[in-house]
Amino acid sequence: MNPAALAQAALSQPAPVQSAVPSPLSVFLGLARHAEQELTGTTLSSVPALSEAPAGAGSASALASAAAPATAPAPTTAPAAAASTVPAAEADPTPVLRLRDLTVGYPGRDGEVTAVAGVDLEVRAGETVAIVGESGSGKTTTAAVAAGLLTGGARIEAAEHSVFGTDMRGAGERAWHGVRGTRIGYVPQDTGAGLNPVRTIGSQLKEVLALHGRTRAEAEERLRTVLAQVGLDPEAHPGRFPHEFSGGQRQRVLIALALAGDPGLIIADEPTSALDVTVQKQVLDLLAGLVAERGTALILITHDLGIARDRADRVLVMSGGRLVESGPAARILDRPRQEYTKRLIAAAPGLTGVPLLQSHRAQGGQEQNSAPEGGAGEPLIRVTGVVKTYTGHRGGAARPAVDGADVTLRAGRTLGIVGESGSGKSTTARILVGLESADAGTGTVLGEDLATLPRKVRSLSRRARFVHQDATAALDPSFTVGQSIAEPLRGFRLGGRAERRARVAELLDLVALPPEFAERRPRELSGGQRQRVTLARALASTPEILVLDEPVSALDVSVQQQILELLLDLQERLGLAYVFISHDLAVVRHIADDVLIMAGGRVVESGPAAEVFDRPRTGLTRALVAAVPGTAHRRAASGAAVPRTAEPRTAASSTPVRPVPIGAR
Amino acid sequence: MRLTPTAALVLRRLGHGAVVLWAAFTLAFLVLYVLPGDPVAILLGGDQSTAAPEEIAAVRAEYNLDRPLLVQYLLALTAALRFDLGSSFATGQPVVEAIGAALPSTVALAVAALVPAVVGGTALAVLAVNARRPALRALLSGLPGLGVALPTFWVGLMLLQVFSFRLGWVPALGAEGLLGLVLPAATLALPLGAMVAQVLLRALDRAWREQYVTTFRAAGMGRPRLLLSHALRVASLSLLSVAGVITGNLLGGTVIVETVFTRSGLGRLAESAVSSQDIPLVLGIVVFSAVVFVLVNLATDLLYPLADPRTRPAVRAAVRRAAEASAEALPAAGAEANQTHSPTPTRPTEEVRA
Repeated sequence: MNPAALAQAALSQPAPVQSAVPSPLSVFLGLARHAEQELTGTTLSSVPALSEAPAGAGSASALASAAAPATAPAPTTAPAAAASTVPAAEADPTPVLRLRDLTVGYPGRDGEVTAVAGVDLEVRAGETVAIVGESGSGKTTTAAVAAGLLTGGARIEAAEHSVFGTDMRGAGERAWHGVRGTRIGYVPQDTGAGLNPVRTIGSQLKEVLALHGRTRAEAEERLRTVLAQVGLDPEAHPGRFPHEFSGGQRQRVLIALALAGDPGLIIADEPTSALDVTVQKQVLDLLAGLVAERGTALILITHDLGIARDRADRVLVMSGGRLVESGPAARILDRPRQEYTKRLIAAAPGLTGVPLLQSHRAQGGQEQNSAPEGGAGEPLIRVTGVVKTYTGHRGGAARPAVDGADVTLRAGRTLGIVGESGSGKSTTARILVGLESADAGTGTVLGEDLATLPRKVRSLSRRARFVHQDATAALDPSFTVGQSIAEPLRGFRLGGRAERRARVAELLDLVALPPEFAERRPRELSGGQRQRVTLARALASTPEILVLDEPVSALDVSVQQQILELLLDLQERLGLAYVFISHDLAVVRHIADDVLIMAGGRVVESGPAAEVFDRPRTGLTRALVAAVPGTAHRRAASGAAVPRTAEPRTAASSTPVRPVPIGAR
Repeated sequence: MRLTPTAALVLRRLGHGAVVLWAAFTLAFLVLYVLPGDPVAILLGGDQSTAAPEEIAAVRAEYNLDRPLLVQYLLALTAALRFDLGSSFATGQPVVEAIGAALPSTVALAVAALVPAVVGGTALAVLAVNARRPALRALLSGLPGLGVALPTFWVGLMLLQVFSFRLGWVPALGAEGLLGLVLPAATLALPLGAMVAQVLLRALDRAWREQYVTTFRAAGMGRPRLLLSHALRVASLSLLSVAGVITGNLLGGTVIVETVFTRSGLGRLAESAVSSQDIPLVLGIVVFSAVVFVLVNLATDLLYPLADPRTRPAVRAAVRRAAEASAEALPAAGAEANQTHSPTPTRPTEEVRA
């Protein structure tokens, strides 16, 4: 980019005095500021602009003040131009981004669908703003508009949309070109498809650096810097392809790509949602470090209230395309004013507060006292020393996926198995229901010997059912809900046609779905409803054990809570025992009686949930607990723009005040 | 002996190819020799031939037609392994020689059709994906479907009608050299190009919706560059994967085009061999086509990993190692975090209790 040339082009035209379209003047003002920033920096490529830019900036501010009385955005842009002679970015009163009264509508079959209505968003340098909401709340659309990624198709209207003082309303691809990458960096969620799969990450990063006017040698240099900044190996990693990285590493590459153009604002859309808590913490620390070191502004789009509480200075809560509430993070999340925010916070599983399980059992009252003690009898599952090693392809060093796990599950109880990816939790669960064979270990599952489980899998699967994480993938899209639920009945030859139909209605009622849902197809259902259907299907053969593999991790918090409550309710009514697998400690804490913490195939800690979470014995558990979003916020209760780097916490500031758990053991 | 993953892949693919060739030969042999019609009658000049019985017996013996079918099959198969596909019933020319003579003209036609088909098809797909106006986009996206649907012989006749008879730009029939190649190549290129456009359009459309397009757009990359260095590159993988189908269309198309334009070539040879029931020649052409198919698919299989790193055998092993390494890194991360944070969450509970 050549700011000087563009500046002259802008000046050669008479500046149109109107506010609806982005005037060349306002575009120019932004560029002049950019040129000034480059002057204060050390970039060699900006040298040609040296002689031109100050003169241009001077005449521009003259023009701006002349235009000021007639244009709406001018009062904000004119001081910016005047301030552009001051090198210090901190002294700049102009917000990095300002959106006022944003409305976005998509053309739909029955008229326009409003995705965002009347949202205001403002971010200043060095500030972190979180936009929080559930799916469909409009948070991602808002972010896409802010980053100039939503052009064409949608109707976008805003009373103001300025980026570093430049009016971007109605700006076309060309105008956004100088903004994307260099002024606004955008970090998408790593779904595994955020990078070109057929090119090395080095070539992709270098290509982006070349876009920002780096020569080959400069790009090489900057590539190393950026990779080091995000904690990747500048030597080994550039030559690798995206699929050779873990999810956390890929997310780092995406952050590196966003950093490549040295932007003043980073918009991160769910940057850590697909990551394990400890990796999540590393990535968030990285982003926080950038904010602290470079005064970068950060917009964090998240569904996770804990992340917003820990990481943001200010929080915007969105729902149904509208702004519900906004303000300092501490104020919004500790003393919410709006009903919606209160509900959202109440639904979010946290490591503080009364676990759902206990409030549920407390409500259950007297008769409930007998059920937990029913666990005193012979456990449904008691296995010890389970080992499973997958033979490495071509004699690769075989590391056990499960290495000496002991599992005990009593009737009517819930055992939570917690761990990060690759910890062996899913393999353990699959062994328990006979889907995998164990290489070593002794014990019984529902009276069957561990060694014979794989051969008994058919009879076993009637009594111990496995519920998969992804309800969408687990339901045949061509089956009606009724057909799906009746499938195990057909498979195990239970009942006749009429009986099955009655049973389907009964099961739908059990999972609190109306009977007419039997005729629907999965695509007509929401995520939470689909998960209810898979639960109903699992319950069809009246099992004693349900093995639930991440049953709520794909759901919004409010839906998550409903499913957890349903599970507790079903447990109470049917006397079910659950093996509940999750990477989410907060969720497990809410539902499990006992917990196994797994890492690298080993059980690193086990015991009653309350004990493990409140008094973790091992460093690993402590690290996992500490990495859960929402646990760290007490140390920065002020909500001011303090740097959030990983400074060591003092015991006093990090100690959450916990209420006494009801019925704590 | 330990094989590298690549060598193992090549050997496995060669094995598959050999099986395909054998199957093609056997099926063609069975179909051709079980077919009604007496080869000897054809050999001796049709049904009205008045050959003496001794003559017929001699011919039968010469072509092994007096032996049992299984023996005939085994003899033909072993001969084929020595690249001997017998001799044409009609001309007595060795089949291999006949194919060899017809090949150059067909190769020229195929190349002349393939190059504009790929270039034109790609251009159409790119234009269609980039069209801003919905109407124009719909029109451009519809063209490939139309092109695939048009019958090749009809396209050839239309081109002849317009460019030779009406406009007189190119000679209608039998022209040699480049000028004579234009209309046949165009006829063949049209459906091929349409197919290329169809495959690429769909792949580009999908690539365009991929998340990495957003990533790079957000990083400041312009549409042309995004298209060339990202979307098209990924989309071309699906073109590579249909290379075998394209070759099939090309071979099939030459039969019609060479017949319509009365060009000599493999297609014309096949057409005349089938219509005159020249069994050895038909069998030879079937086997030759199978060889071409096998080679094209072998090339695709070996090239694909170069174009798409995710399918490299060595890479798959590396991915597994990386996954294991990241799992192992966890305890280290935990230990690190443990040093920096020391929450003491138990005490307040006890205080409240007290």
